Amino acid sequence: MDKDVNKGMNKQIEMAMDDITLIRRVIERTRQDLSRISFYFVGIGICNLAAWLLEEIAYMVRNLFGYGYPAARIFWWCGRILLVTGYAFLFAYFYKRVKRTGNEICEGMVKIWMIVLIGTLVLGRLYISLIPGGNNDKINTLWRCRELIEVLPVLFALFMTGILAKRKLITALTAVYSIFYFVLFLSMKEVPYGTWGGMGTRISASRVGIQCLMSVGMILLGLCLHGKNDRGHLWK
Amino acid sequence: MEINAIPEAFQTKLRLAILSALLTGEKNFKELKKITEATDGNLGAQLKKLEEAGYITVSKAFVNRKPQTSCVLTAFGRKQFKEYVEMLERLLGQAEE
Repeated sequence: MDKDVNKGMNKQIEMAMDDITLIRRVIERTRQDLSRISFYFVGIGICNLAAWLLEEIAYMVRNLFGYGYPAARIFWWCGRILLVTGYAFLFAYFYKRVKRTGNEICEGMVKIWMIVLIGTLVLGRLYISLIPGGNNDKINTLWRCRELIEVLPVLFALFMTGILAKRKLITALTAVYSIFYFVLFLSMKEVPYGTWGGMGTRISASRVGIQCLMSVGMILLGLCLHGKNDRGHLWK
Repeated sequence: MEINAIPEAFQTKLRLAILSALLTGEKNFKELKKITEATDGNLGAQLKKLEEAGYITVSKAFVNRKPQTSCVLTAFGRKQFKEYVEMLERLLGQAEE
């Protein structure tokens, strides 16, 4: 009789432990599911791709018609305005969307990425306005360091995304990109930019690396977060 | 809530998983399917049962011309879930003693 009671009790305890484990796993999985904001990153990538295209056109116009040609400035400013308005629209849309779900990681991620993206634009602009005029080695070095303001917060946010989403692939690729970027930055290699029409301005290869990260990299990040997470089976 | 009177909603793992997923807020059908790894038919059937029992509310709307089913945990569902977890903790506490 006692044996039967113990057996029944053990079964109930086993069931209780199974249920608690299942509840924990589901809640953890729900918190780490970033698929709802995957298109946020795709949107950021598309905005940057369009801004990159406008910047290329601005450089091309400048190379063809000279530095003072107003269309070059117009194209350049269009790219910047597109970035700011695009970021603002994406933030408003996705923040409203994630607020409903109550997923704190998604909500935090949307906020942090917006602070990083808008922050880099504002700080970059502020930095340029503070650089003294002229053309010597010191000033050229200061101009090159502007890139770091743009890329370092983005790399930090990418590492954070990989860690919070528990996606080793994102963390590993960010680490590889960081090494690749710093090698390019320190090598001081230059590539022609805005070359449609034969003439091109030479800009640093690491700058093109940032453009690739902000456009193609962001689109790939979004697609990666949209896909199925490899966190094992729920019912194990 | 007592061990010998567990509501039907908590008697299958999938229903328990659905309720756990909805604890953190609204989810659509696609998200629930991804989280619970259930088939369309099974998930649909369990959602219907939970809705009939008053644990969740299911709303259907067209988003970008595509039908979308959204599920939210009701206050009753949340209260029952809390009681169920408390009962599980009590049971495990007794076992430790």
